[in-house]
Amino acid sequence: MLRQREVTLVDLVDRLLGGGVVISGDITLAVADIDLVQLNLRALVASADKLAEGAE
Amino acid sequence: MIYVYAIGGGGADAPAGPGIDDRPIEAVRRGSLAAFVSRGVERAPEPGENALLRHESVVDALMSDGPVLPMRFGTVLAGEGDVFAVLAARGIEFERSLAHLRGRVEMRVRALWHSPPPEPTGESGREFLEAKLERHRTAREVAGEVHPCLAELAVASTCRLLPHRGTAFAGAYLVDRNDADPLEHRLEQLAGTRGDVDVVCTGPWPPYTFSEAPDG
Repeated sequence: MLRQREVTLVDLVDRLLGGGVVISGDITLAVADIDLVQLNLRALVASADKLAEGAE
Repeated sequence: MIYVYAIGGGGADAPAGPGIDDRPIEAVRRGSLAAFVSRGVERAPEPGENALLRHESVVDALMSDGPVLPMRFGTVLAGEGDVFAVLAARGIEFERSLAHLRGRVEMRVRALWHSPPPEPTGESGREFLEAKLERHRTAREVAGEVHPCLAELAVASTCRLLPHRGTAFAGAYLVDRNDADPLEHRLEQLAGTRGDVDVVCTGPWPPYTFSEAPDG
């Protein structure tokens, strides 16, 4: 179950941050800071890793 | 500021929400298109699990109402004028994409190693490179056995080798809604042929991977 959860979480991050329409150009725009995205991604995956280890 | 979740057809209704920052969801309509947004968002949301799930639930709700183009998570515009400007500047592209995606869904597949090939550490530069090449070769072999058999059921597909630790490959498949089950059945047949990986299928999802308009 937890392994499934890990996959789901990684898949969620991949879908939402790796896909979708990107708006760029000179339109005024703020997007989530990319360093922050990577930091949070690491935190998410690390917490899922921990859950998975706990299950073994 | 305005957070943008997705672009859809002009007739689609805004989902009930709540959305990012607990804000309601509204539709900003221009011609045959609508952008689904939350007004009054203070800043681009941090990509934590809750915010990601809020974004996803809005796009999921829209998906049941017709074709939808999800935005990349974290898209924030200054105001409604910018939303209209985007719909005006890219309207033709968005309409073409929505027509291409009508009745279609994204299925995603991951092949997870039972015991991943060792991370390249390497006492020497040569050992490091050899371990890296070996990992790549094994991932390519797994993907080569699974991906083409699924891709032939799909309108479009992508395949990434070694996207994360422990994952040999990740595939995404754009299929007609009725082909989602056949794709899963095909995968079940294939999954039994390899003893070293678990193959996991998720979906149907909105077409996050296929939201760019096809050429032509």
